[in-house]
Amino acid sequence: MDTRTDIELITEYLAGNSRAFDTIVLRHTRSIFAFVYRLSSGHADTADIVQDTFVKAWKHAKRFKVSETSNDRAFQTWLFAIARNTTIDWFRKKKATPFSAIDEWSDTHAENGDERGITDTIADTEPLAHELFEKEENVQIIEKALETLSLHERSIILLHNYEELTFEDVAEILDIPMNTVKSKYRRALEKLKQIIERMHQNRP
Amino acid sequence: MNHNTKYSRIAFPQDLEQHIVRRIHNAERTAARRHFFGLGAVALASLTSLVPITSYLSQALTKSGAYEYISLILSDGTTLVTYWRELSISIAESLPVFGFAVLLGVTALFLWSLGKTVRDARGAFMTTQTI
Repeated sequence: MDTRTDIELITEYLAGNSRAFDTIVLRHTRSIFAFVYRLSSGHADTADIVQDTFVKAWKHAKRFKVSETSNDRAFQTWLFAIARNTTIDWFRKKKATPFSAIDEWSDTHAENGDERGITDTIADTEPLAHELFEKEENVQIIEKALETLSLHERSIILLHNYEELTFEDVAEILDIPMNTVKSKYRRALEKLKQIIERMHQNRP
Repeated sequence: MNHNTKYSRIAFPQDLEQHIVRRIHNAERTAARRHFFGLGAVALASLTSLVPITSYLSQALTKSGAYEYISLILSDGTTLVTYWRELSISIAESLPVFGFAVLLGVTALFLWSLGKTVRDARGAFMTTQTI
């Protein structure tokens, strides 16, 4: 088990130790695969997208700014941002988008102004998230329900609840304000809750 | 969310990590080869151009009369002690500055490209290692 941090590894890689990047690949492939798999609703091309993600990360490793304040969280955030963008690019190129709202990107910026004020008054989302994600029986239903969410909402749920990233990190990955992330998260949880309730009601 | 839940229902492809690493190694090798041949060509060109530059500089030094000043210094030490300032200025004025600048520039380019070529040689021809 390699005890070096991601920052130490990327620093070594940039200093000329090309094998240091192999360790980064070994360490993060599973989490990136799981993220891309869920983001693309289990698309068959997931493995190819993950490969492209790491090749892009390797190509642009010099762009990752290593400073005294850099930590593994920052590196993970950077890697997830590449994974997400690679996934979107992949489906745009193939014109076989599995996302219901792939082009919502520009709309988000337009609505940011309104949401800043609203999110300050939004109730704490943790009890609702706890209620949804901690029940073992919900796991499969949530995986299915995730597919009905928009790309933004799905990304936020995956990054915050599955990858346990903070809202600040998620905001950085999606390149949107943190308040927008929080409001979308709240909305996504409400949607998931409704879907799960409906599914429970429909059970014989 | 616990680890089992996080990765539940996901079948990871076998050897995905190996494939990624192999692809990166291949890309590294391709980039190293490109650098190796590109910079190798620069090193070769700069080395070749050193021959006419040296010949030009030698002719320019002969024409400039700098050799006479140097032989005067070497033959008579007292002249150097007495007139060192004047001699220095005369030599500096007579030296073919342009020729020296080109020689230095091309030598620096040669050494830089040679260093890079040697560095890239290992990466360009290494075999892919498995992890």
